[in-house]
Amino acid sequence: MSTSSTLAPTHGAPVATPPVLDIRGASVATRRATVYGPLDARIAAPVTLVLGDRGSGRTSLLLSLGGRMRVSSGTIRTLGHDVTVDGRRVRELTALAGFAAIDRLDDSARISEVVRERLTWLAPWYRRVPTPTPREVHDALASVFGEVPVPTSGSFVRDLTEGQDLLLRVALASIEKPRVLLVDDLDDVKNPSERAQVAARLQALTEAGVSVVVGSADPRDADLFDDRLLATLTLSR
Amino acid sequence: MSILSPGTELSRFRSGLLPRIAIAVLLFIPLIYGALYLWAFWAPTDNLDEVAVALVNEDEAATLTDGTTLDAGDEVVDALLDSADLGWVLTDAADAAAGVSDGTYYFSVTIPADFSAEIASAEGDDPEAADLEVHYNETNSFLATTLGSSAMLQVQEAVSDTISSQTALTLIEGVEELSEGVSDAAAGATGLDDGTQALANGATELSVGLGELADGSSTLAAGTTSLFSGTVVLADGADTLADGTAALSEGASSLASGASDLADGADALENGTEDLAAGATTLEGGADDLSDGLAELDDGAATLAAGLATLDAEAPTLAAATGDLSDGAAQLSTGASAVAQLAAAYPTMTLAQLDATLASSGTSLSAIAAGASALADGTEQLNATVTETVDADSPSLVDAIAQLAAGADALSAGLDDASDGATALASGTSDLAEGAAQVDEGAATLTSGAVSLADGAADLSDGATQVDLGADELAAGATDLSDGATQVDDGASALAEASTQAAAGSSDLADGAEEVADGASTLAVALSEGADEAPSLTTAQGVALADVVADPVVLDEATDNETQGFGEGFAPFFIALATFVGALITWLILRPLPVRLLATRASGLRAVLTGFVPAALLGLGQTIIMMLVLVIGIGITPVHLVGMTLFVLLTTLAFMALQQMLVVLLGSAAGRVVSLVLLMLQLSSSSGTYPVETSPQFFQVLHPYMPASYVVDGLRALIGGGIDARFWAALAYMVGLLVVSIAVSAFAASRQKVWTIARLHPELTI
Repeated sequence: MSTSSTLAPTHGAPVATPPVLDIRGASVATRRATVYGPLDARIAAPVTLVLGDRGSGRTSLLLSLGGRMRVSSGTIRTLGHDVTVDGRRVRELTALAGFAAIDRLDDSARISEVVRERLTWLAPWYRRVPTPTPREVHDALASVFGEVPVPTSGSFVRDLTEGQDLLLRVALASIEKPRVLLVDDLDDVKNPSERAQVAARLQALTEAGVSVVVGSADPRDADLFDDRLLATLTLSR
Repeated sequence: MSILSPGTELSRFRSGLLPRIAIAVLLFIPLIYGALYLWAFWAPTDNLDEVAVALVNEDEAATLTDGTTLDAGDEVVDALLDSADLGWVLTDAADAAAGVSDGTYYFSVTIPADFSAEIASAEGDDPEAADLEVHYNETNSFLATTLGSSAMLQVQEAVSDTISSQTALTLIEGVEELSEGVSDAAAGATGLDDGTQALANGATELSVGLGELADGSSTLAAGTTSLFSGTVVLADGADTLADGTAALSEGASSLASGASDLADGADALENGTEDLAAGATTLEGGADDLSDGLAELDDGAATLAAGLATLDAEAPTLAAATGDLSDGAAQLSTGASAVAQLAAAYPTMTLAQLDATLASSGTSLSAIAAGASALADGTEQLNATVTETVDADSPSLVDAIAQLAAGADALSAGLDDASDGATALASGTSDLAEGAAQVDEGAATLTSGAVSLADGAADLSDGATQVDLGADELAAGATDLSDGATQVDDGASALAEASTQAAAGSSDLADGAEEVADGASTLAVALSEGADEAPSLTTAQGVALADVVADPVVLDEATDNETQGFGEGFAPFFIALATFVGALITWLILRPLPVRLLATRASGLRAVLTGFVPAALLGLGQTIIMMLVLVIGIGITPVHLVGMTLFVLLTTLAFMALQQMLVVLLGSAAGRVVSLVLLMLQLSSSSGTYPVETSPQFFQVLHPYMPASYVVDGLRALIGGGIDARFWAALAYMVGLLVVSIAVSAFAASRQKVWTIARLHPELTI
């Protein structure tokens, strides 16, 4: 099992602020096998593309970057915080979207319901959260969807295209206002033009200062992003 | 056979530890359910000695009539402790009551203070079964009461065995005494037997005598028959005689009457004859008088005729004088009458006036005076004429008239004599006629009397004939009577003989009877002695004694917080089972923990509650439906309905939280398997059916930790009543289970914000 890392050319300012990701010899292993790593990388680009096939440990790496999976060895710092030592802080700064096993939405749920659910979770425990109006739903989603059509609040999750579904999950994750957005399975959006649209919307989020880490199995997805903004991390089995 | 190939279904369990465990668990699940339950309840009655039962001995020793002391309570206690059928704990009443109430003891058995006294009462007149007071509390366990009841039956039997000997001994002593009395009675009976035999002999003799008496009687009867027939004949004869006598009497009567008539006739004849003689005399006198009278009559008639002739010659002169007188009188009358009229009409008229007036009417007072003077002249003239005539014819006319008067006198006298004679003649003729009639009548009567006499004589003759015939018959009857009397005599003598024999037999019989009396007296004395010695009982006492001997000890059972029966008794157990299974199925459908939420900043508690609330809502529905059906459909009647409903809801929620926790902690597959195993373990150790003390030690160790134990405790108190510390403990446990489960889940959930490879790629999913 080998691991290679490619550091994208840094651009812009020198490292005054901590890099988005600082990975040093990090690996995750079970008793039977190593899931990924050891891995070294230091990334400051707003968009990080993590490329790796199924079984390469790509999802585990993304979880580790978000403080949601313990590394077996080495260290990872996200925005300067050690994910092992300061995992809670890292989890507050990061949000997940597009993880099949974690944030998959129920097909039979309405858009307004999933929005309300997310708002409820983030509201104080004593506060009742009413069902959002279509306007509120639209407002909550519009900044993420951009030029992509925002689904109406009454439509169902199963009615969404793959791109809309992923963008909806990104939008829900964005409600928490994370500093780093971890998006997995970009390649689940099979339609190329739609995938390009989603990539463009993710890249657009960085304009607001949000770093995006995108996982995909398709190396060609690197073409969907602006090279100046992109760092690529390739995992191999 | 390719059709039976398992495919790849089983190969997915090859990798990883959990799949292998899962397969193992799958293989053992039926065993857990089957064997665990069977093991727990294999022989609950064998372990009843583990069931704590309070035993209280308050008995005070009683003294028997023979002076010995009976301490039945201690004997029973020893017997019970030795038998160790139940987990007897010898204690005092207060501890027992408290222990039964709070469940330290499943139930209590109290030997009351008068236990020995009641046992001893079997030898008295008022036997009473001894009570064992048993006090159950179904809040402790319904089946404990059931088991206890059956155990107590055995205890009762065991105690009865101990106690029976005492009671029976008392009875047997009485029977023994009775036996002595009976053997005395037997001796008496022997004497009675001898007497009876003698009596039989006497009776035989009596029988013979009576037979002879019967013969004599029959002879007597024959004689009586003859007597009877003789009497009949005699009666006939007497009848005939009577007839004859009657006829005779009748004849005599006729004769008498005839004679009487004859006498009467003779009398009348005599009278008639006398009258006839008197009449004839009178007749003779009358005839003489008549003759005299007729002669005088003839003289008188001649005188009369001469006088009449003279009278006739002087008659015309008299007539002329008389005529003149008449005219003068008439004139005078007329004048007087006129004066009278005037005087009447004119009272004041003077004589002149009267004379005038009279003159006017053609008359006058001087006319009247002339008339009166004329009259006086006429009368004088007449008188002179008559005197002249008479003087002139004297003596002839005077003589003629005197002769005529004399002739008339003579005629009158003659006629008087003739009348007297005629009267006497008539009377004599009448007397004669009467006497003749009487003679005739007397002759007739005499004739008729003679006829009657003849008839009476004839009748008398007939009667005499009949009397003769009757006398003959009477003689014949008398002969028969005599024969009969002879036979009666024979019979009577036979009877006398037989009576003598009977008397002899009776004497023998009397002897025999005496012997019998002796024997009977002996028997009576012996029996009475026996009866005196035997226990003397009234019917009620006998029944009571029989009851006491049959069941010297009875159970006086009392049950606190009694349930309706098996249903309510088992309800807590099955509600525990139902709520747990309800939660299990709920968590098969609902996701215990929303994974999506773990990826957010929200807390672990929020993640757990987000999973728990939908299940809790379903649990509320499950509880309401189940309680409605239990109360309305099945008919369970809990003492605390609302409390029970809330407790069932609490149980449901606690079980859901518990199972959610297991899934959160162990994962969906392992968590549910553990839930299933836990279900079985807690049910078999819950004490919801048999008391846990009757189960193997394993379950007794588990019992205090298993939720179902507390569910059963709590529901028993709410259904059957008897809320006590155990209920509050159960309530606290269930609330604690709910809170702790959720807290543990929340803690585990917050830890699960960090994924592991195993959770990300579970080896086994359900």
